[in-house]
Amino acid sequence: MSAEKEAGGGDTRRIRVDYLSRVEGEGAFYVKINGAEVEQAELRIFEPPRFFEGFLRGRSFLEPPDITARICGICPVAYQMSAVHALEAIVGFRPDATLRALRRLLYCGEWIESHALHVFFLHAPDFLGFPDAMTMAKTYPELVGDGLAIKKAGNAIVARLGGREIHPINVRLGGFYRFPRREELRELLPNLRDALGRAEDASTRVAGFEFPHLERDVEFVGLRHHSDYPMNEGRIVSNRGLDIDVEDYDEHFVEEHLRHSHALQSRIRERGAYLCGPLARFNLSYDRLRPRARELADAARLERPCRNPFKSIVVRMVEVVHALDEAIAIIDSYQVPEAPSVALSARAGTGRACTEAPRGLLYHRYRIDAQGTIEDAKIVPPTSQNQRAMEEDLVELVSARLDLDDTALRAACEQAIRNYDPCISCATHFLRLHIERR
Amino acid sequence: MKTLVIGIGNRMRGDDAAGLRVIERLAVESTTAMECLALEHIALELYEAWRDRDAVLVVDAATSGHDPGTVHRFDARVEALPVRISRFSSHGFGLHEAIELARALDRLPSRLIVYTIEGESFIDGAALSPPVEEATRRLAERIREEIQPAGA
Repeated sequence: MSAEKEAGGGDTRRIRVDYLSRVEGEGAFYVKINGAEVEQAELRIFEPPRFFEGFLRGRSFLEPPDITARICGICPVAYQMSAVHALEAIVGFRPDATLRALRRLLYCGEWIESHALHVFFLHAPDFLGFPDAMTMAKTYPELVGDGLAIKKAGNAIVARLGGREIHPINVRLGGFYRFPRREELRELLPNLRDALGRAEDASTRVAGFEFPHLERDVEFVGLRHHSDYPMNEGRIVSNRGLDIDVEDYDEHFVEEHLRHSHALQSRIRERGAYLCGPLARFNLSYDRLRPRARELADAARLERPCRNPFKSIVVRMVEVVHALDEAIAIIDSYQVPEAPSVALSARAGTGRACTEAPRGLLYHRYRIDAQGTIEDAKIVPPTSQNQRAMEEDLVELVSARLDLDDTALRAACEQAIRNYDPCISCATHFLRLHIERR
Repeated sequence: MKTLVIGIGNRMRGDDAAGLRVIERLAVESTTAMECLALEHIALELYEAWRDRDAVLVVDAATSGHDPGTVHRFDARVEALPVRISRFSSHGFGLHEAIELARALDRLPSRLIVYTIEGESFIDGAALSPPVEEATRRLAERIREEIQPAGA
């Protein structure tokens, strides 16, 4: 689409709109097989470019929590958390224990609803042999009912503490616009406790699914904290020796624009593909899980490390149980802060933060001037960080299953893609599997 | 017992606002027989909107290939909506999915009628197209008559 505008004096200005704004993109997967070898595999994610980094320039440093939340409808809290931590780093603000706990509570709410949506409505149908959750609900109404109740409990935390279920409005630099009263949070407890019981039951069922065989030797990357399962804080570590401060992110991770995809793809300098998200977190911080979640992981016989991406669905349930258990504990001990959040003054500088979105690491970097105007912004979502690993997964998966017909291969690829990212699995509704056999 | 009339749509996307426009028209004349609700988001949990209700009407725009302004009526207790009739959310969940989920979980009201209005165009920022605007006027009258017949 393009529009032309005539300015005075005969000069023509052309205003081009080459990309329609869309939330989800289409996905396509192209495979070229030569004899017994997968010669080429490309995952084409047609997401629009992230113009957010562009139009954040010139805005106030107070605005990114609200603006970047719009990047995603399922994980707006992740964007808000990465934004506030990166900007607070510039002005030298450190959250106290209560604020820290409340931010974790908000994140727990998002992990719960995002994981529940994914496990029950996007992924479980693949494992149980149904085309979608609606059909699955006819045979397994209790399972779907459990999923809805768990999701609802997570949404309730985000609505109560964040002020709104989708794109919360209560998050600001320095804290919250309004701290909830004790009773306002305690009212959530009955449904959270109920959801926890349901999540434990559902986890057992999910652990009993049949998991396609796939063992991946890949670099797992995530935050590592001295005491907590990672959310907002920590160093960036991997199972291959990476151990860096967030400040050094750009020295180790690069983004590239490859021809076949609109999304930038990440890799570790000198190494290559890596994987972040639930499987990486589990492998890197199993010992930081709350006991109830750890017991569940053990009962589910999750290997340590777990290298089968198809078992991510089990790990997501372990994280749901962890998040519900932690949310209940935070609410139990919550005391309203005596003073409201402080307004922060601008200072020139650059700030960086990584937080653990449901789907993995979300990196924000901002440079602001002394008046607090944003000069530069960089946002790297978990989707683009995982893309390379996803493609490598698909190559290995297809290579081992060349005897399958195209329909079965397509189904296996879709199920594999859903191991990673709900937004991508939306795209896989339109997944076109091109198979060229020679 | 009040009938709940739910209008679903996207105010910012041309004829996708049809269901909301019908609600606007109905809300002009208050009545004890009906309660109106405008929804700009179809959630999985649409059934929560009609919890404890016996009679529900839902109005939404459709893209099913018929002439713009065409109105279809479905009795959702008796038949599923054609899958392709309405626009989808970013997760591929539309009105069809929300109703089928409610059906599978036994959370349909005793009476659930769905009206769809065929849209002509769904351009960002555009107003309703003339045939759709006219269809909302006729449908609002029809719904008023259905819920509270004149002289009753």
